[in-house]
Amino acid sequence: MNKNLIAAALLLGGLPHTATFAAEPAVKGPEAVADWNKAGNDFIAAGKALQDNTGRARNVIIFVGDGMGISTQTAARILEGQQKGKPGEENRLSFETLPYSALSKTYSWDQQTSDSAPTATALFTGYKAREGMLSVDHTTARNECDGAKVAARALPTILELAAANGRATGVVSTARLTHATPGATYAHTPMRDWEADSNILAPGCSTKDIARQLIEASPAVLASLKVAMGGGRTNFLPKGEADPEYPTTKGRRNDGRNLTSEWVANRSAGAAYVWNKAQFDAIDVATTGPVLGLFEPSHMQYEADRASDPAGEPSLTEMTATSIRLLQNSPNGYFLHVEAGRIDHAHHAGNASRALQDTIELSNAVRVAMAMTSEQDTLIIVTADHSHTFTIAGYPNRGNPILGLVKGVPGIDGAPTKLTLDKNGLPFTTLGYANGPGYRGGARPDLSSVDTTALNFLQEATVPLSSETHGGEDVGVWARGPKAYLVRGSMEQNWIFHVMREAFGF
Amino acid sequence: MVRTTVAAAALVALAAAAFSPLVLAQPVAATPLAAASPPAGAAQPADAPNLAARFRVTWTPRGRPAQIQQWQLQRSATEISWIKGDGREDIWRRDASGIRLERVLRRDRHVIDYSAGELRTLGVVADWRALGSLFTDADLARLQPLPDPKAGAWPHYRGVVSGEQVDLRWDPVARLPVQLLRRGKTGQVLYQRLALRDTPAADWPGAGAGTGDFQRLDAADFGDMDGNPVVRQEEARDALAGWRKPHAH
Repeated sequence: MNKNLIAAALLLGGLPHTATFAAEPAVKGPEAVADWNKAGNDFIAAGKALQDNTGRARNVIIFVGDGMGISTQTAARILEGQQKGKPGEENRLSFETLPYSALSKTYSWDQQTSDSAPTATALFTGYKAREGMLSVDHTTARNECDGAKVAARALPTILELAAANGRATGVVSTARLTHATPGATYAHTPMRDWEADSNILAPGCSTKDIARQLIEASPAVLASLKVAMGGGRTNFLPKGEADPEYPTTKGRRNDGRNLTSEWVANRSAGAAYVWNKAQFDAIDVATTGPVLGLFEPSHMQYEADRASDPAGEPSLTEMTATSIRLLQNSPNGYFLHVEAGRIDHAHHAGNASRALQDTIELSNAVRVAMAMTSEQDTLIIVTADHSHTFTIAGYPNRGNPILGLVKGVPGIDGAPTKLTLDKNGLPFTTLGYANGPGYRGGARPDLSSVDTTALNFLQEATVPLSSETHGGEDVGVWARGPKAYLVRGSMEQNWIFHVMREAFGF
Repeated sequence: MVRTTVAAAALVALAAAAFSPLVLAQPVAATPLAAASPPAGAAQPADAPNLAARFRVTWTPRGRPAQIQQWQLQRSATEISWIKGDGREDIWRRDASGIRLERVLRRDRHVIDYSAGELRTLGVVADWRALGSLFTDADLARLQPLPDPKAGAWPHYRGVVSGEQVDLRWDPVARLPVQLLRRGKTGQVLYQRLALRDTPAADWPGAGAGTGDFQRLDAADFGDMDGNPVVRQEEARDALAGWRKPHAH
């Protein structure tokens, strides 16, 4: 191309342009013409300045948004931006500012579209495994009751390896602490449902339940585990014992053991068990020993509902911050896993608003972690275990409420926006699901007078299912810190473990 | 706030489905979005009195033999339980977090927990007064009172509610039907009160009793358990009851 033309084109990007609309467009982005080119130039400059951190990580934190597929992350980004009064599309969630990213392939050894168990196994052990199994290799038989066989097939997790190498460790989730994703960091089991001994129906089964594996971990893990927070109190309490927050709810353990008491008794000095917000707030990170926090009998509240919890419960962000403070006391560094465990549940219910709000809360937690740590010595990875059937569709105009009905860009400047209509003259939402309880059946509903942004609105689904399913496409991975540059391209999900291990250097 | 409308009218409408409506007849009703909210500062209706009651429930599908069950209700300010004649029990509890449900499935030896947040996520908003009364205040207001020549007879109402013919003998003190007949296209359901007490008799079973060794599931986990036959069964029943479905807002 002619050099003069090139120079002219480059110069053009820096010239202010005066709009010459015949009439003001109804939809306008906030950007000036020059902003686009400037942002692109800034991106290139930042890329040129980026230097791979080839050092070792003192600390590794891996955040998992359970069910946080690309469409979830995109919609949450827009929602967060709109909550700030902006159009939303230009917004970035905290982890979207991390310099390294990749796509992760989430299939398991026997699933094209995986569940949370083998995906967590991949993330935390470096091996792909079977549907429903936690941190055991794919030669493990379903319902394997022989504890010795399970032990022989146990895959060392990144938490266990960190502990064995002198790091402090922690695990945090808004799901039950014994649920698949957090459970895969410390437990090895052929059945993700074996969260308490009462879930193991076969008589004489010597495979330990997941809650028990947290309490009876290896000496190295017992010494390392400084914080474990989430839901799932009933799996730690004996049958008949009343839940402290909901007295009519009883514990589920057949063996009569109170594992919360055992945590306090068997951990190092200062060990504590907390179950409500007041107790959580009272944690003195300088003096408190290993902390077990169980804030609900089952899963913790959705972020959208957390304010209504009777005993109060901390947010994911608060749990993340306190966990980092507790772990920072360790002179040798730490490994921490944080999960936003209920994005998945909201999607299964076909409820986008709760899913997106939990995603935004994950972003808040990551932001706090980024602020509390140095990218020189702390590897932060953010990813999802799998996706959902959640879609963003239509041609909504810039700034259209992401939870709202589609309104397109008017074809004539000055014309107002109007609802986009289907073949039958009915409006539709931007967000939807390929399957799930949002199926209306028969004719589509007329949503013209419906508040589709309401918290409890279920987006439409194409295929009727009582619960929406997971999605099989790749999910995102974002990273910063030591060895973060190894997060790149198209990755098998289990390679993420290898990045963390490489960063730790063991 | 968007609310669902899952009225007790589902009782007869659900007869068209494969499952008996008797096992699904749960008056989870809510104020439709279009209904006016009480004015700010208006007093909320008082809770119904604590009591225990038994009903004979007769479901007669059109052209088919009747099915009869005995139901037992126990009601208090914080707990409403229904023991139904097919091994299913619904125990509703109310606290600061909202209204939650513990569903006992004796034949399957399972208990399903629906937290308050999960019910909201499923689009279910329970009307506490309706849960323990078999009939909502809004539906009662739609009926026409009938004169009764007998002195001291129970107040008698008739009308059409959600497309069904309703004939109701109402106990205004207990806030319970003495007799309730609902007739729709596919059949009719008749509730006849057999007993009314302040507290359950000594030989009346307690809801949830003896379930210590049942498998407990959290309804929030159903999406990850589609291979579990009890989960599939209960999801299907939830859907027939109008749960796990979007509603007209």
